[in-house]
Amino acid sequence: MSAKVLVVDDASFMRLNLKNILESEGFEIMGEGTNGQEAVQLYQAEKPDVVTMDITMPEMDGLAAMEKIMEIDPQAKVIMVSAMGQETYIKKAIMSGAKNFIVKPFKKEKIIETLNKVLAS
Amino acid sequence: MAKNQQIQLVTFQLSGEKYGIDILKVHEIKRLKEIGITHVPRAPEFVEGVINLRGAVIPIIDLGKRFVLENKKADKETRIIVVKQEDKYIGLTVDRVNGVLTVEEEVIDEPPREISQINSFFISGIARYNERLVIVLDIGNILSPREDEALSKIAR
Amino acid sequence: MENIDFEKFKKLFLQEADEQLEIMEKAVMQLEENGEEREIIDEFFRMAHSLKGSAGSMGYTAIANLTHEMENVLDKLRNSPGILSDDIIDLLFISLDTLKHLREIVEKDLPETENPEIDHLLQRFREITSRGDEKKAAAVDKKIYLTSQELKNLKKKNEEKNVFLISFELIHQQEMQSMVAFLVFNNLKEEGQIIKTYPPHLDEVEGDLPFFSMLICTEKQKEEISRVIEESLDREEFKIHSLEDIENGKAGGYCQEVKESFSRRDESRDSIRVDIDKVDQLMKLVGELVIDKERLLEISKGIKANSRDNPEAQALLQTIPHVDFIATELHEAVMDIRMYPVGSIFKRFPRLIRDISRQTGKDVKLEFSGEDTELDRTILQEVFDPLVHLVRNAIDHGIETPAQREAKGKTSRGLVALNAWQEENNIIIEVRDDGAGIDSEKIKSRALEKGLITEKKGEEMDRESLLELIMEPGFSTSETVNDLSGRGVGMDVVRTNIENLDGEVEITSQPGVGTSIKIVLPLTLAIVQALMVREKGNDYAIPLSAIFETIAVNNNNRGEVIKTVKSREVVIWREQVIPLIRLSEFFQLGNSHEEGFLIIGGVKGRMVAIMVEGVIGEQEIVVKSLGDFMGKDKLFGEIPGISGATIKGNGKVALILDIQGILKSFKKGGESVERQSTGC
Repeated sequence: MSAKVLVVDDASFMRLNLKNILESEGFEIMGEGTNGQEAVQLYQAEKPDVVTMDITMPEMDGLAAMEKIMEIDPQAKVIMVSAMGQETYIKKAIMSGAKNFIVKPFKKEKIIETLNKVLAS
Repeated sequence: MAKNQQIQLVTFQLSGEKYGIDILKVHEIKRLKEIGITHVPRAPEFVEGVINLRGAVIPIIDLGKRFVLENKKADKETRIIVVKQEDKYIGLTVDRVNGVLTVEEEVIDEPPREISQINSFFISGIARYNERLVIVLDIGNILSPREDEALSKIAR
Repeated sequence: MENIDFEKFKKLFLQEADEQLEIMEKAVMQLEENGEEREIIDEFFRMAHSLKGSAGSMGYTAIANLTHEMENVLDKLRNSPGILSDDIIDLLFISLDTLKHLREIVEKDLPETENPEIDHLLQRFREITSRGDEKKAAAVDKKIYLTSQELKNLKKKNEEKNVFLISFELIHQQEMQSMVAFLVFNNLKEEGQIIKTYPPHLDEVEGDLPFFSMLICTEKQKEEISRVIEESLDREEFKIHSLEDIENGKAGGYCQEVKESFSRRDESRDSIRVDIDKVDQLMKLVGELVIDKERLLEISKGIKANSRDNPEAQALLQTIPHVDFIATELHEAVMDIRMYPVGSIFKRFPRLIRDISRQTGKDVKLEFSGEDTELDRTILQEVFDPLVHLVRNAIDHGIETPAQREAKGKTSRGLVALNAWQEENNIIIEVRDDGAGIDSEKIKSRALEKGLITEKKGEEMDRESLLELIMEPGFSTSETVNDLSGRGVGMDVVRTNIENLDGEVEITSQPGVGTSIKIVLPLTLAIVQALMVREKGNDYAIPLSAIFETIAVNNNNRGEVIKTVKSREVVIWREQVIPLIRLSEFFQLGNSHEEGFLIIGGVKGRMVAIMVEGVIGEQEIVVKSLGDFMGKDKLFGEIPGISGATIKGNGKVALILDIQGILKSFKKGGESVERQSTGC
């Protein structure tokens, strides 16, 4: 039974990249969101096992989206994907309940490891 | 350059003329007899002395003497108006206190000489009330020791 | 954070920062004097480290950055002995100055602006740190420090729960290490109480953080904690130690016990910090209490007479003396709080001396004595600036250059001494130097030049008065400041400042040998013992401390006691001839009586006999200042001889006489004092 991942990022390249990496390691991509609002909708429609959430996105940013998702499901497992220097956001996200974070650009091993850790918790 | 606004004045008399002080500056009014004024030796002519006002020692000046007016002897009508200026209290003795007046105030830069016996340095404005004029005093200048400088500045 | 909270934190931050800065300054001076000493460097490091932590958590990035770099350099000094150089010491001095400046900015809520100087400083620090061995600058001493008391408390906690020290080393994670730390911190918070962290305020740290540790008290077991951490980190990246490990020294140097008094000042007594406003309020209330208890005493005199059969009155009469006693004790206790040792300002001088000596090219040593002498705290604050001025003058224009000194046969190093002691009812603070001294003859000629005195006056003046001329405003005008006029620079301001404190400045000097400038301050307690006297219907108070003796004068003994010399009245007292001043004449109240009392008062060398009508008795009085309206340029102008007022038991005001002031005024003018009548 493979874990279901919801990938959220406004850059299609990033989504593609993640999709490749994750699927090659046996993860199932159950949905792709291009902004925060879509992320929340997709989460509500079908609960994934874990979410990778980009921070800077139009319409609704990753932080707001994560908070909304936590409201819907306090047990939600969200991993924030950030660029260098977004420490304040990361901090806020962690305080709001994000389980972990990774920094772009990330190595394949790193994202897999993080996903596994979060899923195991 | 006239400004019309309402202010409340405590009005009093000195040598027959009527004066007023902004009520916001007046802290209280005391009878002369109530308190013993302690004389301060070798002080300027207009200084009456000092008194105990609830534990603080405050100066009392004879406003008439300050204005160099014809002096009236103290009697039972004499009052001490305690004013507050910049966190300090000072008592001013006056011939009698009339009451509180609410007036429109017209501020005049140079009060004509005939208006008052006292130096315009001490005047902050003139108030009209029922055909009468009440001279509104500038407390800050009255209490200023540098009056001589100021006097010489004002062309007389 | 709400405004109120932030203000409180800010205040606390500033208080702690001041202490830390002081200790650091002391440390750097010691390093300069004694060279490298491990303990001093450690202490310096600890202070910089604490300051960095608190500054970081308060958001004062400039301070945090600077202390961070200082910390790095100090760390390097610790680990690589022998690299301490003058360069580094200078840098440390400059950075302390910069920190003080930044502290000011914090206090005044000014925005932190770009400061190229600070950047330069940081750059230089980094250069030093990266010199040579980079790797070593890593985590040897990134420890959690615990005092013995804290360790004891932890042991107690360990009895019921589990105390763990978790040390982290982020090998795999290179970016946003502080965020990882925050993540772990956040998670562990749910599992127990996090008591201490390295670095302190772990949740506020930003940037690189390869090493950190946490001390946690939890009900969970080691395995559970481990699992929680593994949600975010790999097993190799952390280690959990128990309290026993810490005690047995097996905690790998992540935690260390520290003697508390090591870095605190003189902790021979327990102390607390109190806002000065609270002390002032306390003093005010005690003052009022004393007035009221005097009233009670007076009232009780009235009761005594008619109340033999009244039990309540009797009870009152018994209680009042006790209230009197308590009020007096309370007064003394509160006064004691306000008294501060002079040493607290003296200790700011070594640094000052060093700077001034450097600037002027003189070599000067500082000594002090009497640091324990106590003064009212507010007076102490006021006296600091004048003292700095005097010291500056002494070094600038008093002490000669090493070459000049050697030519004169003196030691090339000059001496400036700050001495404090109590003399009768004054506190004397002296600035003494062994420099060139001041030639009173030269002063006379210059004063004549400047038109400050006439030829005649110059002849009459004694040495002391001549020397005091350097304090006249006209003496040292700016043209060319040579050593003579230089000593007078700003002295008029010094004198005014000291006189505002009711004090005096005395100068003595020996050309070629040295100079002594004394600041004489009265022990003005707000509540004093006074003698009440009466003159022409008014009561006056004379502080007992200024009175030597009271002599009754009547028709019988008058001829013995009062003499006339050169048409001035004098009194023969204990073989001294002292001037007589009749109070009623001095105050222009009219002619004085033939009979009355002589109040012999003053200080040694400046005594006077003041004649009054009557003496009422001794009494404790509360001194009320008249400074609001009495004094130069004030409403009443200057009134000689009056130093304040007090409120009597009956509610009326009595003026307080200033014996020194009366004497001074008498010396200056005197027409009102000379008796008109001939003979006596």
